[in-house]
Amino acid sequence: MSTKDEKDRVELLQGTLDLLILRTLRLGPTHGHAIAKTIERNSADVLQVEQGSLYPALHRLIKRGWISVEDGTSENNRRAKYYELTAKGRKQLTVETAKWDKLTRAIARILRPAGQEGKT
Amino acid sequence: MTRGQRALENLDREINDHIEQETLDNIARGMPPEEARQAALRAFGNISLVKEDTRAEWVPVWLDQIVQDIRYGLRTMRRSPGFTVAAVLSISLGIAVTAVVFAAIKAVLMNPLPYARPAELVQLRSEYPKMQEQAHSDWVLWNDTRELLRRTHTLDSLGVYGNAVFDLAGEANAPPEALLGVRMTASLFPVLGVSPMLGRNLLPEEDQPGHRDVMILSYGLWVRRFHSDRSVVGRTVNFNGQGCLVIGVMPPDFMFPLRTVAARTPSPYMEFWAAPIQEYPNPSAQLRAVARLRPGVSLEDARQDLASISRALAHDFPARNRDRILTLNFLSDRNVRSAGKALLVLMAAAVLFMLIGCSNVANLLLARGLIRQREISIRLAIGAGRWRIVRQLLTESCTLALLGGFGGYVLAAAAWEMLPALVPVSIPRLAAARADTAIFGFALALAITNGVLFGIAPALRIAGSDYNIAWSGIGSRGAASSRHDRVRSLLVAAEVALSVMLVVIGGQVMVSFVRLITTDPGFQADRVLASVVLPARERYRNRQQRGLFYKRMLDAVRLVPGVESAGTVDALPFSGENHGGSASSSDAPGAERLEAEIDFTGGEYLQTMGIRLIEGRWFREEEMTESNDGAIVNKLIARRLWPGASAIGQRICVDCTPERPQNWKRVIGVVSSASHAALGEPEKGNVYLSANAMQEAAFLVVRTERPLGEMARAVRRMIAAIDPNQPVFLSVSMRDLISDSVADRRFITLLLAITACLALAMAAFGVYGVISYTTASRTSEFGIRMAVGASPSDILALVFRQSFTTVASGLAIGLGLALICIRSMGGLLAGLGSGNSAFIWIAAGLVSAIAGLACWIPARRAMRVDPAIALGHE
Repeated sequence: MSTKDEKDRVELLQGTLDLLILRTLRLGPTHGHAIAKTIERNSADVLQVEQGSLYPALHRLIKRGWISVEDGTSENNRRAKYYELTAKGRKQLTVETAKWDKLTRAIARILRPAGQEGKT
Repeated sequence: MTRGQRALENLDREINDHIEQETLDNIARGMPPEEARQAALRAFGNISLVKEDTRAEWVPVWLDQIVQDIRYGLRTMRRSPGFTVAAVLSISLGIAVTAVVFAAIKAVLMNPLPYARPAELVQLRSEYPKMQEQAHSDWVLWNDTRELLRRTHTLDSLGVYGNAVFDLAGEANAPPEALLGVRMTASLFPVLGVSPMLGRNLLPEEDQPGHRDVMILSYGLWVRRFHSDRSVVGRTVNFNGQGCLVIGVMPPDFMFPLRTVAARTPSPYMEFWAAPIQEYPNPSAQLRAVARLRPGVSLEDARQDLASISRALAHDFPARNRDRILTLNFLSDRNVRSAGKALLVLMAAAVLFMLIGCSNVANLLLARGLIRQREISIRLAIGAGRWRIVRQLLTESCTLALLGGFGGYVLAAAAWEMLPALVPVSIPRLAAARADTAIFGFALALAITNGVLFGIAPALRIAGSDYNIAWSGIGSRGAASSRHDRVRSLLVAAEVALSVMLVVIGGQVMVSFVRLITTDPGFQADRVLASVVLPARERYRNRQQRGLFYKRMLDAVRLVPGVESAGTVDALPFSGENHGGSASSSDAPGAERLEAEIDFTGGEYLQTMGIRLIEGRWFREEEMTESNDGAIVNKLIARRLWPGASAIGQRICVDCTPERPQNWKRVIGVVSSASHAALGEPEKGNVYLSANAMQEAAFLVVRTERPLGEMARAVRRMIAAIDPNQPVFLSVSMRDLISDSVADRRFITLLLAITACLALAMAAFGVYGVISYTTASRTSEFGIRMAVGASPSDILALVFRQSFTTVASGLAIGLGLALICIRSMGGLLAGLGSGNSAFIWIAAGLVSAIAGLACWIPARRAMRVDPAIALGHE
């Protein structure tokens, strides 16, 4: 999040951070810092996520039972909390992804109706 | 460390690790360490905000909302203090009355015996199946208990005891004192499952005849006379003019037997438990016994067991056990008696009162709901769910109710501080009633129930109302208001009905109580002072010495200035002392034996008590000799034994038992009947004897013109002059003794009367409030009516008729319910069943008048509406 220029950054829509976290955790259990890094890397640093805002979101997901947390050891041998997708979370990810696709398609249709490009 | 703190610490560590990791990454990318850390912090964002947001995720949403609702509710309450005070006061009063009664119920009914596994404890008794009525039969003989222990298969263990009086010698600052206590077997405390706070229980050998006296002190006696000195245990103390070894001190809340008499009656409380029982050698002495049932044995099993043992005993010991069967009752039954039912009736009354309070508050909420309708409509319009609104309104009413519950607890606690002092009560265990944490919990639970009860209808109605109506300016006078009016009328009718019930029932009980205390006891209680003087067996070793002492005392007291007459008796009316026996005119085996109270009277006892002589003559002083056979009977005995003939000169067989068949006396006088055990009891037989009166005497009575307190001191001085070591157990006016005998009923009646008065007041204010409100909201309607020609009196009639119709339906329903209650619950509460229809109508009339007034005042106000102003108002 530090390599792109400010004007290229996009602020995250409310609720989408949860989706991103779930998606990231589908690759396997990992700790908070690594989640932040993965989201940054995968969005090619476009998405502007304050790393701190990750934590309220993680705890919200735990409470909903979509992810679980366990103590583990990080790559450089430090104690860290590892977050892992639960079965319920996996299902939720499918639902949320489908919803997201629908939403983006709908918005895209409104913004660029078929055959009317350029008229607006 | 709490769970929350640990979670916070974990979060801290996680955030620190995160930033450190980011810093390391930045360094790896080539930043200088300081800059790397700054960049990491920047990328992370506001740490404390993150923590706060995370913590917010931990708290469940509903809890958060409730806190919000409560906060909002408190704010609304602050904005309308008048409403808040009225509502909280209504709830507080309802909860206070209920909590006061609940505290009594908890002490008396839920925890009736402060001993181990109380459900297994039974009191043994003797019954004569051939006699109809035996009031006082909780006794057994020593031999019965030995045989029972040998033969029973249902009783686990058994303790025997009897009352005893010990004289404690006077000291420098303390006069000699007569103490009431218990002599018992070593097994008694183990049966009860109790042991001393200091020292030890009795050892088995210590209750054997001939063993030196040993005693366990009550906590009160230990504090009062031994200044809480722990070293008194193991010391020999001078009781009854001889040494007695103190082996223990009981804890403060211990009491056995439980006190079942009011404060001023003799035997106020037990102050020691001693051994051995002195009556051992006397085979016919009546002793009390408590036993513990074997685990799993029912009362019925044990009764059958005892019945078959009784048959065997009748065969083995015909002299004492023929015609008599041993049986048992639960110890708790004996103690609670009728008080339990009365308390439950009181509880019902308290709940009804609380419901009046609830409907009052519901009405207030409904009225306020109209004002808040717009606020609610806005909330609904911008998307709040109806359920969410209902929940918010319910939270508000529960908050209100909890404030009321707290107030109710405070009031109840204050009431329990004052009540015992106001009225002496003999209901056992009631002294243990107080507002404790259980009562606090009860009050809060009641509050929540209240909150839902009075909150749910207004909440549903307000949240369910169509917000379009509310939006249009006429909302509060349109369709919504008529629906509100219906609910409100219902509540008013219910309130009136409940208060009529309470007033009629309370009044009925009160009137019958007044009738009871104004009952003529059959003697003149005013200006009579009774003193209990019990010469200790240890100091007055035989009956002659005892008789001589009493005679000297009686003669000395007669000389006290102001004494009109004086006498002695062995069992004073209303003292709790009864000497039941039998009287018959023939000793033939099948002859009728009347149950009778047999009293030994000395001096001018009958004259002093103001009992009237109907026929014959009084006893003479010289007739107090052993050989005298004179007897005075009351008119019931005279009528029943010698119908149609004069009783004077007739022979009467007093207490003729198989062992003593020839106890013949000659009737010399007939007197009026006097109550002995209770006011208003059915007339009973009474035989007064003069022989041996001095040897048997226990009570000294004097009639005087002087103030009784002064006379009591003079009597004490006179007795001290004869024997400085002889304590006076108690000096009390006959009036007080009679008054104490109805203490329980007075207590119950007082509580019921207070509840009924509060109910009347609360219902009156409730009705007044609602009618005022609805009338005020119809101001413009009245304006129109007047503008088109209605006269002020038409308006008055209209309003009064409409509101009083509601009230009258409540009156009718309440009166009907009250009559049903009086019919069906007559047995539950003394005085409730006694027919007294005149008073019921007076009570109903009183409620009608007050309710009518509550309708009249608003109606009058409506009448004075100025049409011009009323119409301009819209």
